[in-house]
Amino acid sequence: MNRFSSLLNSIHDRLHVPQPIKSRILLEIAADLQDAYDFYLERGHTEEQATQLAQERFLLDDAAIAELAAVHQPLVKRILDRFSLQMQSRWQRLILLLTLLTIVAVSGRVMLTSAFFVNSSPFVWPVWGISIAGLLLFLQKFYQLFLIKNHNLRTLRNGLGTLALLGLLSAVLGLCGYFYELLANGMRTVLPGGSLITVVCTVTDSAKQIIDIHNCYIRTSTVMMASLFVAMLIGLLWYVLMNKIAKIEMAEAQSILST
Amino acid sequence: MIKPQLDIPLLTKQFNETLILAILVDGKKHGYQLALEIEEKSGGLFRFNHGTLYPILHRLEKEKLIRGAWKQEGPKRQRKYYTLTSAGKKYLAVHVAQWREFFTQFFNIAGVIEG
Repeated sequence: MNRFSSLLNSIHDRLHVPQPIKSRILLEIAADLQDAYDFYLERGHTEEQATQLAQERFLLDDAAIAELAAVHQPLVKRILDRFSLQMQSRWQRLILLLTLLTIVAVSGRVMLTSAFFVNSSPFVWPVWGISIAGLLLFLQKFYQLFLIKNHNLRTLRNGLGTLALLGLLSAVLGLCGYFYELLANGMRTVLPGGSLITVVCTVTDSAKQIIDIHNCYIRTSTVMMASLFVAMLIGLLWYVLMNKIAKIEMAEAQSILST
Repeated sequence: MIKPQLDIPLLTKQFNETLILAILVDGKKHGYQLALEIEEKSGGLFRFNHGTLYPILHRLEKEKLIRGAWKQEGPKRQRKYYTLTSAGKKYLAVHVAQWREFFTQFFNIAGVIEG
């Protein structure tokens, strides 16, 4: 057991940065602590005194910890990491996985029917492109983490940010498509001086308008379904990878704290 | 003449940064060495709590004013050494000039009172 393990553990628990960075910071402090310890031993102090004196010089108060975290962690990443760390218990993970799998399975069934594609919004196609990119990225990370077990801390999180960004992009595209379809249909349907809401809320006297509104609903539904489906799927894949990485990083941190 | 740009709330931060960068002019050093040298060269006047050192070092590294590199020392020991970058040298030159200007102005006032 490291003689400075209590101090290092305290820093480890309070410092909320990605684990590889945390491990590097702990490694750096541990090496400097050892130097300080040797310095005090050379000055004639006992081992206990040297340990205590060294630890006193390296106390990181909450302000220093917060500053260190701010240097290393953008806000978005902090929120994402906290989310993945909060879902640590087996039951929480199981419930989350089951919920997401149910949503993916139900909406996937609808989307796999040919009728879904007949009248879909043009925004659906870039969403599918994002899903393919996300899947390829996931497969590459899966290969790295699970098959060849390349657990190099420097490259462990590479691609995870991109994966999260793809999920976000899919949701944003869905929203853009949704409003675009509403707007485009509104332009076609609304008479000068009217509004889309009045057209939707009142029974129109034109069969063509009803068909247009019906098609508009289908297009907005398809784009929202596809984008949310892809965003959730990517979120699920990101979560699986994130959990694996968190485990690898925790093991690395434990090895630093115990040597 | 360099126009003074020192912001009073940032004095401590800039002071610490300048000290660290100045110590690194002599060559690469690790965190503990830096703190020790600053303390020794100032006759114990500038005593760093090492805990406050790391946020400054890591911020300077992020801003590419210093460069950190890991070195294996022995089978189980890795050390992170910091070196001054060319951007860091320029930053240091500007800040040393600013500190000089700051203290010149300070002694213009304090010197009058003293005399």
